[in-house]
Amino acid sequence: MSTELEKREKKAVNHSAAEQIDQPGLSFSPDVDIYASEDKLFLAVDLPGVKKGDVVINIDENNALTIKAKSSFTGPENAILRQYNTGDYYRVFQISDDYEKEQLSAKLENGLLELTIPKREEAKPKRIEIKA
Amino acid sequence: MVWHVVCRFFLYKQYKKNNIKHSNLNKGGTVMLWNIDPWRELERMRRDIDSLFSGTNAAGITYSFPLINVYDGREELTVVAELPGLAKESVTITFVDNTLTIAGKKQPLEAAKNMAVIRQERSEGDFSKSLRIPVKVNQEKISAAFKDGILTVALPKAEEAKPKTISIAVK
Repeated sequence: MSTELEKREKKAVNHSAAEQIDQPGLSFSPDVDIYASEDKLFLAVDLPGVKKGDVVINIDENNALTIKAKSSFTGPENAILRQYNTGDYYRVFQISDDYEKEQLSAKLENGLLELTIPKREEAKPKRIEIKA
Repeated sequence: MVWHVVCRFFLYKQYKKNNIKHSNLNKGGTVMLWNIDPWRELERMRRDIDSLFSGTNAAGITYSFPLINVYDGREELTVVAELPGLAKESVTITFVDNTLTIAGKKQPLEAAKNMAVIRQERSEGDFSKSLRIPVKVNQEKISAAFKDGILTVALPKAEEAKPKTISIAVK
C-alpha cells in the first residue's frame, strides 16, 4: 500500500503541469461557486493574488478536475491583525462523464477564475415535439 | 462545558449543511465534491462562534467580507484585503475620523446568468467593512493599489506617531 502511494506521489511530481507547486498539502482550498445549465457547467473560483500564468488546470482520465494556483502576493512583515493566510491554492472536483473535458475554457481576471465546460452533445436534453 | 456544547452544536450544523449539499449534488448527477478540508470547516466554525459574540472578534473587527490583514511598518500601516472578482471601479475606500472603510458591491456573475446553482461558497451583494486605525495618520498621503483581486491601502503614519530613536550619550 505504502509503495503504491509513493509511486503515485512521484508520478504527480514528475507530471510537467505540476512543476512549481508540488506540495498540495500546504495549500488552501479556495471558495467556489458551481452553476449548471442544460448545455454547460460553470465554476467560479476565488484566487486572490494569482497571476494569469500561475494557474494549472488539469482533468485526468478519471474525470478529476484539479485546480492548482500559486499566489504571487507577498505582504509586508509584522502583521498586527491577520484574518486570512496567504499561500497556494489547491482543489479537486469530480466531473461527470457528461462533459466535454477537452473543451474546457478558462478565464482569470482580478483574482477570479472562471471555468466553463460544455456538455457532450449526446448528454444534452432532447426536446420532443408533441404531434397532434 | 458551555464551550463543549457550543462546539457540538456547530459541528452538527456543519454536518447537516454538508449533508444537504451532497444529496443535492448526487441528484443532479453532475458534480461531486471530492475533498472537504477539515481545517477549512473548523475555521468556518471559529468564525461562526466569533460572530455569536456581537459579530466581532477580540479586536472589534468582524469576519465579514472582505477579510483583511493589517501590517505595521515603521513608516506606515498597510491594510490588505482580498477582493477576488471585483473591479477597481466597484470598490470605494473612505477615511473619516481615523476609521478606514472599504465598501462596494459584489455583482452576480454575468456568465452564470440563468444557470442553476449547485454550490455557493462565495458571497454576493453589498459589503462594507470598517477598521479603526490606532495611530495618527497623514490623511493626505493615503494611497491604494488593486492587483489580481488584492487591495492594498497604505496609511502613512503622522510624524508624531512614528517610532523615534533617542540616542543617549554614555558618560
